[in-house]
Amino acid sequence: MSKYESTNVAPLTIAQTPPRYPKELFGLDRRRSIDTLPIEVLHQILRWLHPRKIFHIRRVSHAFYACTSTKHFAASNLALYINLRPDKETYLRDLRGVGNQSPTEQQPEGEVPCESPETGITTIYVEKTQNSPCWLDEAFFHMPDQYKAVFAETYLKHVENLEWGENDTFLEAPIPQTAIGLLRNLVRLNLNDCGITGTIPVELTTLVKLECLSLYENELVGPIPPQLSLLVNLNELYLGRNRLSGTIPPSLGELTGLKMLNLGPNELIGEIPGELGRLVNLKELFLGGNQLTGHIPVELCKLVNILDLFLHKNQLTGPVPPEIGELVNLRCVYFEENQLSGEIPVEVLKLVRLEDCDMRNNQLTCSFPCPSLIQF
Amino acid sequence: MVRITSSDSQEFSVSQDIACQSQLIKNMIEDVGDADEQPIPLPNVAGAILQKGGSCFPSISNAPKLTLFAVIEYATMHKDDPPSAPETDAKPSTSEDIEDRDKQFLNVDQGTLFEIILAANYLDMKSLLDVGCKTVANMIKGKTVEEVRALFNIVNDFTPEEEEQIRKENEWCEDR
Repeated sequence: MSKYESTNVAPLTIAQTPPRYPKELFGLDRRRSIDTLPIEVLHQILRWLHPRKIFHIRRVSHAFYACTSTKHFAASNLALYINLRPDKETYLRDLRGVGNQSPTEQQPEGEVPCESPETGITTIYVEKTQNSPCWLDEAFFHMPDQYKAVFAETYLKHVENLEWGENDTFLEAPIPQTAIGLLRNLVRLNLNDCGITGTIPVELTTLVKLECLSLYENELVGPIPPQLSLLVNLNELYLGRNRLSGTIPPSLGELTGLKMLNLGPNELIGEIPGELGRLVNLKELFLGGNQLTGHIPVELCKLVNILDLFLHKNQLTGPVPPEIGELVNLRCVYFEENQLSGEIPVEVLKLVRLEDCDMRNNQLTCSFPCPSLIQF
Repeated sequence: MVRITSSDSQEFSVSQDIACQSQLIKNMIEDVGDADEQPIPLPNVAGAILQKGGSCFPSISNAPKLTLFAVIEYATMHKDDPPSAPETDAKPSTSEDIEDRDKQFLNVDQGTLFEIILAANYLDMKSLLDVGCKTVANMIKGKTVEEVRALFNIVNDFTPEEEEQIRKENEWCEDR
């Protein structure tokens, strides 16, 4: 029994006013306040708050802001709110606590991870109901950069498939630059129709396992990074329905595994690079709805496996190359609304699998009996 | 028994299992071997003087319990606790997880609370540090930025431009 153990435990009452006594006597600074604490102690206090609360109170003072702005803090804060073990349910629910809602009021939102015991969660499909904020949106798209990076590094490192549902998702945020580059195991990234803004981060091009990159129907601006050619395993690239500008990088011709290349509609200018003719595995090439100029490069007629060729609604000039007849698998050809001129080459008659061919609104003529499915 | 001295040269003698709840003291004892010889100096921890209903200054028994003394009291209270599991294995703790006896122990004014937290940090007493920090975190919970400033007498040292910038960064969470 310690001699300092309390022998006379009186009920504790809270002093309403600070007791008056000379502080020197006790060697204690009565005016000790929270923002004079060493940053590591402030860190220990603030980490107990929900991440969402952290962002509110960053505004309190420089000390609060500095304390909560480090990767170290983000890691220890997130560690309290995301727990991958022991069961994935915890993982799904914990960060979704919003404001003062109690955990019991929150229902799962339909995020369905498929967990493989060896590597942790490998597939995350985010599907939201109504407009309720989703923790994954927050942790990956909205939180300050250091949080996104820590979250990605800690919890998404093993993810191979990351997909945001198309319904009612409106992120209004750019793809997190640093964080996306950390998802080294990503094979499929699908962010279709999510309200993504900003440019295509060049960090994406470090994800060399990517086979499918789909950023279709967002609000992306800026150029298509030529470095996308580093994604040598890519077989599907969807960048259509954005506002991407600049020219089509010829380097995309190096992605010879591509089966699907969709770059329209966007605001792309310049000529169609002949290098695209190297994409011999391509099944669909969609460049429609841009402001592309110049001729249809004859190299495109080397795309022997192509089924669908969409070059419509551009400002392409010149003739339809006769070599198009080599593309014997062609099913759909949309060349309408360009400024193509000259004769439709008789070689189109070799395209026996053709189902739909629209060449209207050009200055094309035809000197042979044209099958009715070829409209011009 | 282990002898420890506070920054104001007060000497305390406490049993080893209590003293060793401080990782700092535990390491010191392990380093020096026999602890009985020399008192262990704790230059960062103010002397402990008062205790509620204690014997030192009974006339002001409601005055805050102070640092080292308070810390010893806490350590005594928790001397029979099982060793805590490493955080990574445990279910994540929340700031609501505070034992009633700790709530009562930490029912002190802000200045004292911060001194206790500082001492726990210095002495490397994780459980006391956590429970102290949770207590402060709970004070912040549910308060607006302005209320937090008022609660802790914090001067807003941001320029209006800086504050607006942070407000903008926070847009995604401010209105929800």
